[in-house]
Amino acid sequence: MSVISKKICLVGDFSVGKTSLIRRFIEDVFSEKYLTTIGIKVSRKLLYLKSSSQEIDLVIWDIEGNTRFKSITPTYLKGATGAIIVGDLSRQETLNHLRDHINLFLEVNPKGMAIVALNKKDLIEENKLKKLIQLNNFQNHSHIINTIVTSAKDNTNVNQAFYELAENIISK
Amino acid sequence: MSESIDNLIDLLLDLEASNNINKPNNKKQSSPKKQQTPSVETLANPTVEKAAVPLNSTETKTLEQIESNQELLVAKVIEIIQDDPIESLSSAISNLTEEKHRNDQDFSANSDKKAPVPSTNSETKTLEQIESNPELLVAKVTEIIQDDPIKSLSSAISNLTEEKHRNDQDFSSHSEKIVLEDWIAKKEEQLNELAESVNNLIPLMIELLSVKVSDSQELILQTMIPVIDRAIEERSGQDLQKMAHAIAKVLPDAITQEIKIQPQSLGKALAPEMALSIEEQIRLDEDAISCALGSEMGKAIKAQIELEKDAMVDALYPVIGSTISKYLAEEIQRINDKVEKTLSPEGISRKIRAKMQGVSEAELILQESLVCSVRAIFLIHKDSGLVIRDIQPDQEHPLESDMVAGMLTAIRSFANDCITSDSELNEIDYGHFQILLEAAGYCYIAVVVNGIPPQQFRDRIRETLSTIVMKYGNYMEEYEGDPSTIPQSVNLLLKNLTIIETDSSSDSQSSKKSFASLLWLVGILLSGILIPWGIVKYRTAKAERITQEVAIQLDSNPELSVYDLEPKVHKGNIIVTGKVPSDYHRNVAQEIVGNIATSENLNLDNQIIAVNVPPDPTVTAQEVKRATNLLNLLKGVAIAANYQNYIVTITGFVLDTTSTQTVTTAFSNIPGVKQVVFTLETELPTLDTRIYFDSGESEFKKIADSSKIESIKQFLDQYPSLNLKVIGHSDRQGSTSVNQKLALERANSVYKQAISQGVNPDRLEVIGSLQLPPDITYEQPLHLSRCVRFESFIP
Repeated sequence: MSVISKKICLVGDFSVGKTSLIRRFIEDVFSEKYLTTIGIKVSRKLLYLKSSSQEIDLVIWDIEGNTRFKSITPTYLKGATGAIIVGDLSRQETLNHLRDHINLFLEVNPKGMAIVALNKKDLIEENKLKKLIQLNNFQNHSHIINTIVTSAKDNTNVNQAFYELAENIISK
Repeated sequence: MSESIDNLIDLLLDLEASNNINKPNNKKQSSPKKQQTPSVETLANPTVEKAAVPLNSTETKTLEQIESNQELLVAKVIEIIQDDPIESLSSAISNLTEEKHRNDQDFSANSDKKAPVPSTNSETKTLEQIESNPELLVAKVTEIIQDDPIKSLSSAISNLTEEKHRNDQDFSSHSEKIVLEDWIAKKEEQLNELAESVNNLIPLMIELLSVKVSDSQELILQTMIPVIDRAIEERSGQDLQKMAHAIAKVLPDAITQEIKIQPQSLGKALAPEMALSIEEQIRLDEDAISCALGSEMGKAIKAQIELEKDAMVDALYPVIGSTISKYLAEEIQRINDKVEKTLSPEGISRKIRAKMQGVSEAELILQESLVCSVRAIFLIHKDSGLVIRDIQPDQEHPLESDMVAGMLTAIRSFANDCITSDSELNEIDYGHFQILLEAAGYCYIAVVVNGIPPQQFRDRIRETLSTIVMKYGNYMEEYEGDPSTIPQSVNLLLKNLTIIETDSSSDSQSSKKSFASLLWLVGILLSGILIPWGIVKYRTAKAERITQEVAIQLDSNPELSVYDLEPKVHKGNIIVTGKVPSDYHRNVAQEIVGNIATSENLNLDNQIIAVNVPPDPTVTAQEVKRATNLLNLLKGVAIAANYQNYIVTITGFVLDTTSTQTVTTAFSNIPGVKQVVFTLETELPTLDTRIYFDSGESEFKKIADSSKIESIKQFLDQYPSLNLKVIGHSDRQGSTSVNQKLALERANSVYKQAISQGVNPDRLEVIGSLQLPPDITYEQPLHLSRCVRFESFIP
């Protein structure tokens, strides 16, 4: 069976950890340094999905989170089958914007599927975490596959987020 | 003696111990494990620190004492040094070190936490002793040294060693712990006392030395110089490590100082070894030097260029020069080839292309000379940036197609969004690479080209893309990342693009092409010659035909035929040149030629000149004669014209009055005729002569009638334009047939007689008539009817 390519995007406010999640997923590294993504960075990773025994070439678009250029984003989202909508658990306003990002993505790609990643779990105390998860759960949204708490620093659930999205895209 | 040596040894041992203690931090860092077991060093630590306090207070006192005995001390030291003290000192030091080491070990082996600690009391005591009697100490030391210090030292040390050894053995064998402990305690006490005293001495000695140095520097120098180098040499021979250790600390400072004092000398000193040391370092660690220098290399080169540009140029020239010249040589060779082929079809087509594209021919040549090749071709989905197909001829270093496609798509989107929304990004240049982009519908092609591709290559990309879009447009639209959904034939189409056809490539296709282009060229050239030639031919033929027609028409007109009129057809005009005597003639000609011109759609250019020249009298005469002859052909006209002095005199007969008008105009129209004089008669003259015959006779009576023939002759001479009818008659007797015959015979006989008498027979016409002569009636006598009469007529 031939390799199928799929475009996915990482969307979220600036500094929520989109680039870090991608770096963790692709290179398995984490850096504390904060580097702003300007425009776009395209990466790819070949995944083998056991459930469908299908190879998938995930072309990952890391889209800059800067709100100043918000108008650019819709074009970059075009043609994406999936997205990971990222929020920063330590900054409430980024969580507030999650719904906007989901809507924007679905506006451009009405058939698209997304995963919500609540990132930077490592910065949050255990007792607060539960409450935050409860508050930001999109489980009932028809286009949201899952809401996953992640940490690029501790490598928590990063692979799970990407694989779950990939599996879902392929099974469609 | 041995006791004093013992004391000295102990003293020195303590000295070393205290030296070690003075830098406890160093020890801690280098061997932290040592700290775990309590040792003399750590235990002695507070002691020394405390000792240093009282020392400071007594310092000044001691100094004063020493100062008073300065010279003595110096002398002693010099003395000792002169007695070859180096060996003795160095060996003593090493022995001491060994001893000390052993002691430490012993001590730690038998360590007892209750081991006596040197007390502050003993310290102060010793100090006091020394203070009160500094000279004694000096004297003692001197004494010891003077008494062959080496031997005594070494023997003392060996004794000590042996003793110690024995003690140890005893200790282990008999385990007389208490005795040993006491002994050790005692020893320790002694050691400590000595150590204190020496410790107190050290600053003193330093001060002493510094005072001496400041006072009599020269003297110290003189005494030290001869031995210092040897001392160092000797010491380094024995223990290189320690020496190095000792020097190491001061080395950086020393060098800094030296550089400050004498900036040049250190450079000079190090210079010869510089190269070698770098070499050595490179051998040890290949990357270190380049790493260290690398970052500064750029700056260094820049600085050097600023300082001395020419030197840099000279240095690099052999390398860069040859590289560039090799490259240029190849390029020029190629350009040369192109120029040589200037007159080939290729060259001519290039000239035409240069004209059409508006670039110089040289630019085209250069473009053709530079090799260009396709690095990669991508067919990319427009929205998602997913690669539909990628063709990469160079399999060794393939480009990351997904990433390239993604980035290109992002750049395109960015350009579309931020720069202009309607136009497309066509091309990205970087270095000698070009990415040609051609977009349509749902996909776009990106071709990565090395070098400058010819213009027609872009056209080919466009063609390929339009073919793909036309045939497989719906596949492109529905592409969702699965390459198996795209037909394989797309690959073939894209693969065709990997070959960039340049004019220099000598494959069959291009040669065919060039042959075809040659044919075309010949065709164009031929048609360029033949078509105008044909047109010219046709026009000349047409012109000739028209000219001829005009000439004929002009010639057939009686009024114009005599004049030399020359028609010519040129550029849509009929030009008639020539001379006619009057405007009338000119108008006649104009009318004739004008008709032809209208029918042939040509303009008339009448260049005939009407000249009123007095015509040639002979010509006019001829004309008159011609007119006369013509007019004489008319019925009832018999005229003769005489032209003289522009006057035509016409004589003769014009029987019809209408003909008279014709005759008049005919002559008056003849150029050169100014006047026409008529002497015309409207009736023919009659000849009354009759020749009579006997009844039934037709014979001519010669004697009687010969004179009558003469009158006929005269009549004809008088009217040369007239002829005569000879009409025979008969009387009414007899039959008609006989009469008929008789009448004709009578006329014939007259006719014959007239001829015989010299009358022109052409002017006579013989007729036999049954009628009576016109003026004769039946009543008149018969003989009047038997006659031949004459009647004039215009021939």
